[in-house]
Amino acid sequence: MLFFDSHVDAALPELARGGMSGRRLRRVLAHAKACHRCAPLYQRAVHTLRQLETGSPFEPAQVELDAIVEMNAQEVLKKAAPPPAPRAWLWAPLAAGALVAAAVFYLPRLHESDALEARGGPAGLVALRVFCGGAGQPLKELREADECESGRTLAFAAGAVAEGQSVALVVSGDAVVTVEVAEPVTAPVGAEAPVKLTVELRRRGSAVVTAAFASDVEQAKSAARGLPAGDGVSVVRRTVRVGR
Amino acid sequence: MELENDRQWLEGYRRGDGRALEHVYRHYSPRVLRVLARQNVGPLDLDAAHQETFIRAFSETARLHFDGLQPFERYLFAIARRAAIDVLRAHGKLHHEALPLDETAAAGQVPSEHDTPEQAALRAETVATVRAFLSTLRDDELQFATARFIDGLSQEQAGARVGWSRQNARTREARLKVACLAFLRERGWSTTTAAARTALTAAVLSLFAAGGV
Repeated sequence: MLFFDSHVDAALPELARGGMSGRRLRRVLAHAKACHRCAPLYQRAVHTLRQLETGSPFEPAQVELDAIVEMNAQEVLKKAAPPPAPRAWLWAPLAAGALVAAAVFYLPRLHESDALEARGGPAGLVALRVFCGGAGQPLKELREADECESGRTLAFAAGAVAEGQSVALVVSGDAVVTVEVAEPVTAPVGAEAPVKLTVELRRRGSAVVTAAFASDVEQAKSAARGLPAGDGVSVVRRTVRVGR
Repeated sequence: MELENDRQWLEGYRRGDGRALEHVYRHYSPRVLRVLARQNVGPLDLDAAHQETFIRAFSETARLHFDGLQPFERYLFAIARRAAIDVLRAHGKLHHEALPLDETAAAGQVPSEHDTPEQAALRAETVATVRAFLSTLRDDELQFATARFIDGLSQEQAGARVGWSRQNARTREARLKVACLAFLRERGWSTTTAAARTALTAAVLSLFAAGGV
């Protein structure tokens, strides 16, 4: 579940009115599928709208048809597209183009890759993302220099390249009550999944977020608590400034 | 025009031509979604089953396997039924050992127009909810809803029946649907009321009793 999505009841009027974009529907459905409270609610609302519009709960309404067709179009057609056939006469200009592109983009890209290193863990094998959110407000990802106000909440997402990893997260500091959580990592780097932990920022100061990734959950917990860690443990540490 | 009747389109589909495939996707998607919805694929699984159907239908094996003689719709619906079963199994909503009906001998002749007990109960519940909602509408709104949803008129025609412009009819229809959701919410839409639950149980039991199960 994407915890930074609004609940399904907030999106249903939009679906009923029609014109919901495919991207938006994808988020709503992903949320509904993972949210215990929202799944029956979504189904009941859709069945009722179908009944109203088509006279049957098993006959999709036009707005539902349009939204799903739009939502799946890109994915289906992308997968159906045959891989482009290599053409020998294209190789020379392509190679020259690649050289020019490399020369033009080399320096700017260096800066970008630094930013990614800072967000991710050692050698880009693991990643931790930190978000600042509040009731009724969108979640904002925090970069190194960003701060989150007291009274708001921190949320996290984690990913790892290797499968079978667990992440242990410890949040401490003068702005928070120290909390920790450990759970399996379910997503790769680049598509990080939410960690089931939110932390309320109680006062001004700072919060230190320590995430340890390891194939053994106990090893990850030890490393996150600052105890000596063995081989194969990746630790990412972020300090969040808490303002006002 | 159907795929099997258009030689150029058919050849494009067989070759995997992007434009031909997109045309297939747009032309047949609504029908596939309706078939899936009638196949017990719920609103939360509909998108996955629809996507899986077209990914399978656009695979090289499926494209070359289509003979171009039988209606493409029938070929696609067979793929959709199998995709639906696989998606429901993957989501834990169908037992892995349950055999799809179309894989059993002579299953093609089994009539499937009757609702299952669960479908009948759901239908009864939604009919009751929509009736209750319609009873709260003003005369002109009810007349519009009847013309639009029961008589199947276009927005413009249904609006004309109650003297609304096309734009007005469009806005009112959207408001009507949102009001329907608000009505659900007021009634406690995430959980059925005790009375509705009792009615639902009674409906399921009576259907089981009627079927001699």
